[in-house]
Amino acid sequence: MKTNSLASRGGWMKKRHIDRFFLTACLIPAIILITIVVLIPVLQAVQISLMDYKFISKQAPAWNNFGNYKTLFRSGDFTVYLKNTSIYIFFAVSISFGLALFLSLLLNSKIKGRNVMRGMIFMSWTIPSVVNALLWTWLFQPQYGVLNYIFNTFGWLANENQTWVQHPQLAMVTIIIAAVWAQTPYMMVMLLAGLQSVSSELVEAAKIDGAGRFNILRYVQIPSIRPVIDTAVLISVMTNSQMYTVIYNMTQGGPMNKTTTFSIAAYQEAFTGYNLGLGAATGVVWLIIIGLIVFLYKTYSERKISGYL
Amino acid sequence: MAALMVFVIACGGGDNTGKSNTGNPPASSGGSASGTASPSKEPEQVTLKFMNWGSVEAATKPGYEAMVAAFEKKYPHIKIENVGVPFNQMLDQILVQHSAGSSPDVMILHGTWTSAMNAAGALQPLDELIPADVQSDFYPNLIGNLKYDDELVGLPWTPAPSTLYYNKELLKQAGITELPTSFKEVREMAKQIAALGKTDTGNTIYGFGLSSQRLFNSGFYFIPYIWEQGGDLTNEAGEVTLDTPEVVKAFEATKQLFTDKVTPVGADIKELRNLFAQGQLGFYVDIDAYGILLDLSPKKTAFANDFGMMRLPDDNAFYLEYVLGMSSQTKHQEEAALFLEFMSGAEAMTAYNNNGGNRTPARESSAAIDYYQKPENAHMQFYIEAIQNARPLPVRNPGFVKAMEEVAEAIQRVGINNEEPAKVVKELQAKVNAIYTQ
Repeated sequence: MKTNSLASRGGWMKKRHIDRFFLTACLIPAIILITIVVLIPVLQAVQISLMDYKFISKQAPAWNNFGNYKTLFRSGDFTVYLKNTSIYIFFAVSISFGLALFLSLLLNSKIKGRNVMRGMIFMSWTIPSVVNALLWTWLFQPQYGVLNYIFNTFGWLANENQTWVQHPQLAMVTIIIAAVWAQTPYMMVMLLAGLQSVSSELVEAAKIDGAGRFNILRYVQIPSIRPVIDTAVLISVMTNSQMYTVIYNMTQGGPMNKTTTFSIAAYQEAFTGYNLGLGAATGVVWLIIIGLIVFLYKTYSERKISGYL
Repeated sequence: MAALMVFVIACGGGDNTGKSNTGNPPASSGGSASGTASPSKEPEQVTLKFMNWGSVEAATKPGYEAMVAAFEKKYPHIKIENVGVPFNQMLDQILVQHSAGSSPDVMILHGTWTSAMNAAGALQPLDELIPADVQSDFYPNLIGNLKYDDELVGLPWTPAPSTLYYNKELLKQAGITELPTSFKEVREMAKQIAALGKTDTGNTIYGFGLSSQRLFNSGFYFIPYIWEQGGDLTNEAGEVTLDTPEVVKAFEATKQLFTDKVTPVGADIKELRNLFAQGQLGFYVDIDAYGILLDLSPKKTAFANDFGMMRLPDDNAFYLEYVLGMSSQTKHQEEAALFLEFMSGAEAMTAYNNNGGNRTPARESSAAIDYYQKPENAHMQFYIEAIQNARPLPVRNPGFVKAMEEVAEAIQRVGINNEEPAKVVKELQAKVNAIYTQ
């Protein structure tokens, strides 16, 4: 027996090592790729952010004693970028989530033509960002745009050539609309997949107990798909924090910096101001902020999920 | 962004910046400066990388291909690798490639980029590479502006004068019988035109088109209005001179255009062209847009009867040129010089214009080609004459492009956000000064 026990333990240990080796071997390519494509560029960007590095200077880049960070924080632009980025992310993510949840609930129910509707709703996600930006720029065009034409037909506009994309108060709204239109389908698909995995027995049990649709949604479905919601929201936050194409092609960060987010500011400092160091510093600061947000969100949501379990 | 920065650092050449020295003496590869190989030696096969945006735009692609083909036919030992990059990415790409030590041999630049490229040490001086008789063939006001520290850093190419376009029909409807002689008169006439209200199809009529999107070209289109008032972006010493009563007046006049609803709000130059081509705009300033306007108009070539062109009042016109540049990193200076000389010459301009180019020459000898003498191209004679009397934009400082974005923002603050011009101008002075002195 002892001999058999020793042999079985030895066999189990060998198998464990093999499994561990196999897992490591599977992970190594991904780790190498992430190191080359993500980690090294980020470290290089941090290095550049600490240097006086300008395209239009013949001087070699040199350490500038955090000069780029001092410039960023002292100029007052940092608070503008933070405010614009926060507003954009908050509304783009929350509106996308609300719409996506509504659509996913709708498509999860037994309605006619839901497969066709799924396909049609998902089409906007397949359109390239640049095309999306140009499309919405033309829809919002003051003289020829379809939206002004429709609004004028109903007599809703005091100024029939209402500006949208170039209006200081409305420019951010137009960008959020363009972003929500493009991103909602992806979030919808994730939430729909989650809803479809909710046990029908739970829903039936809730119905038997007299729960209405809203209570079933609130106390059964949403808690069941909480991990999916967290992932979808996190992806949306990270996607929108990097948003450059839509904003640059619609407003170029204007008018009057009303839509200049960190990503736009970083590009402008580097390639319009030719100051690669300051552009990198802007990007690094934003990286730290978004990293903190993601960390805090994950910590909070993991505690919440473990509270459900 | 991070990956782009890695490319800049990682692909550097011998030194840690990847930048090479400027002002390398002309390489000697045998033959005279005009590139004719000595009879006893077969010229070496060379490939030049030519970067430009014209090759990716449908309207200009045939013209660029025709020029390259004509050059390769004339110089069979030189092959051109034609690299098209979208205009919006062109400057970024060149600067990044220069930093990485892999700059194209020859390139076409926008005239507003030359100072930045020169400051980066990216351009090879051409004084000893381009023959003196070729240099003197360029219009003097064009080539003079491409000298930095007495070194010629590029050749002017297809310059265009800023021109005042006017809609004859709208002027007639507004009862205007004489053309304006000053911008003040333009603004007064524009008010009369805007009072017409709407076109027959119910679209709003605007009196004057001012580019007011946050783009650098909105900034430089505004420069003549500063000149009109007697002001300027900088003085002769290069110091920023925006905080002056003259510039405040320019912004006050601009603000009035928005207050009176004479100009469309937030339009860029492309939208202004569209509005003008649709017959909704009385006056606007553009460069050589004749062919573009005919293409945009529903009337096509018949629209040529509906509008006219005139020089900007008080000779406050600027010219905008493209620049033929040679990289300071090229290993084929003589061949590259041959290409630059060819591109500005009569053969290339003939090939370009016969394939849809429709651009003006920078050299006197090129102005004599048949294309410009045809009756249907009479508008080109107007442009050629106007170029010779136009002023260069104040592009000498590398921060010019960013400064023009700030000017565009100032226009928005005054016109769209209704801020006080004096306050805006003061802040603009500080911003542009910070850009110019960094």
